[in-house]
Amino acid sequence: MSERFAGSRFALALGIGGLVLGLAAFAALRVGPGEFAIADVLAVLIGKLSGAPIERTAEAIVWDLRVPRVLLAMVVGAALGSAGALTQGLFRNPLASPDVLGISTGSAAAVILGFAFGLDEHAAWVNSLLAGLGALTVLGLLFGLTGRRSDLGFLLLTGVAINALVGALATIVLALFLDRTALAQKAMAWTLGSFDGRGFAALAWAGPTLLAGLLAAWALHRPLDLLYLGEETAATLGLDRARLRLVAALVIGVLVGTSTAAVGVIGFVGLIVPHLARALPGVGSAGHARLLPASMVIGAGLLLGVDTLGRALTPLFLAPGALTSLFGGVFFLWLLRRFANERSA
Amino acid sequence: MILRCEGLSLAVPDRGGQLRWLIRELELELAPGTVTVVVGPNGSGKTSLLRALLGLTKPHAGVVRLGDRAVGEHDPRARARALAWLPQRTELAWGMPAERLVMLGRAPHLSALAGPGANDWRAVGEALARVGADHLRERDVLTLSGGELQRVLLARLLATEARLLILDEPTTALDVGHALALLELCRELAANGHGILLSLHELDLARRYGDRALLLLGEQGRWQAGECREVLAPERLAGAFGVEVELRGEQLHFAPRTIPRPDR
Repeated sequence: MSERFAGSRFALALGIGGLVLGLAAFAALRVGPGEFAIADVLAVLIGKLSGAPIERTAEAIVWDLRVPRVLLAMVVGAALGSAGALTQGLFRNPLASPDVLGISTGSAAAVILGFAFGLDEHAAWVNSLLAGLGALTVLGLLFGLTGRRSDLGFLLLTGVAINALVGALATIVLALFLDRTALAQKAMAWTLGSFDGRGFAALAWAGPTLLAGLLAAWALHRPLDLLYLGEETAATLGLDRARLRLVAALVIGVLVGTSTAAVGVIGFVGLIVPHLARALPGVGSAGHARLLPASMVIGAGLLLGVDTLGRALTPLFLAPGALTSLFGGVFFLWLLRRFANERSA
Repeated sequence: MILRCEGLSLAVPDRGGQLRWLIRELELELAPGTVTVVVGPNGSGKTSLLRALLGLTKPHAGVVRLGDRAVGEHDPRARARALAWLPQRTELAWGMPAERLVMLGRAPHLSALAGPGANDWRAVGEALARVGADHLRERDVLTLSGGELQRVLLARLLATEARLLILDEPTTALDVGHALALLELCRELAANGHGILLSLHELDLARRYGDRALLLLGEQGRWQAGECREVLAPERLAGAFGVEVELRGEQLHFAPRTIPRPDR
């Protein structure tokens, strides 16, 4: 009974977290080139909602540039954070994430391949589809190669190999088209990961797709909990293993693929965020029903912070994807050490 | 419900790609109110058999029936409410309170969206009390000792409220006190109408706690089944395990074979 009571407290905490996130997002609209007071930002938002006249420059910068970009950063953060929690749950491995296992690299390689053939010029969703297919291909490889083995290290090493393989493919494609400067530049800029210039057009397809993915991710919380006992025990408890693998892979594909297609490679968010979420009181012990929403809020906050920092430092371009990978790499090393210590203890 | 094997045959590919029979044409019945023990040398196919009984793997031939249908043809959740499994090892990827782990056993009873209800919490409480792990409720499972963890995992098994229980070497990680307590509990459950099948390495314990026994010989898929004391008689065990076995009182005594085997 105690846990059900704590459930309402978790909902409250989640609500407060969401509110703080909203306020932070609002404050973040001020940050960047151009002098805007909170009142100016507020005037734009109220004007947009009520139809009152708005000052043109403020509208162009705050509404057309910053609002979609801030929203996109948050929804991508939520997507990558929950994709990390999904991946860790699916593989029952706290060291797994779309980045570590090569799923993100698979997405990136597929998009670069699309660039090479000019596929991305057809429609905005083509990248998204390609990236999703890339992610699914890697997930299929991982399932096929690791089979029933639940060994922590074996999965990670398989991920390392796939990462190298898929990364090499992407590099070869890039190298073949190196003389086409425009293409090389586009691929490079995209590999770095960036929120620059993502307007309502990008948000219009990525936003709803990712929101649907987030809902689908949450709906998987109970089967993911069951996997804790191992795939076979979960099967004896009524879980359809094959269906869960397929559905979870599709959801991860949508979340990682659409995110990667929208803003490029933003590394290691999926690894860090679930661990931060687990460290919160009342989350780590309560299973995926809380881990997933908590990872969404924290992921959104993290990328909002990274993007805001980036804008505050303009004209310096701080590649957000590289920045998160930098944190993430250090964090991964720390995690590895901790796990090594636990095992030898 | 009754679990029954009819002509069940299991095989694994050996190095040459040939099939090696683990079990051939097994006839076995797991009925409510009985404890059946499965014994046999390492690699004789105990775990493979249990997995086939649960419908986790398809047998090479024959069928496992749960009630009137093959075990794999039941709705998975309905099957899970009738037949439950405790595997040999459970690797814990991260921590959670013991009562939440036990609650995972309620999965086949929970509806798709609603969380656990009062009924589920009652079942979890009863299961924990049954295995004497009440005091561990809020403990993180990663901090439990081997014996404590095994009791919590057993409570998870009981929380399913399944009448047929299959346990794979449940005593392996336990000291003798915990092992005896677990087997006493199995007898108690059988007396309450559960049907229990467990694999064991300790032959003395198998003789003492089993009603019926299945001895896997590990050669060409041969097996012997029947009353526990008959199947686990010294001369049969001697043949199966390749050792000298002597029964003194109720105690089995083992010694390595002194006479070289004729095929060496």
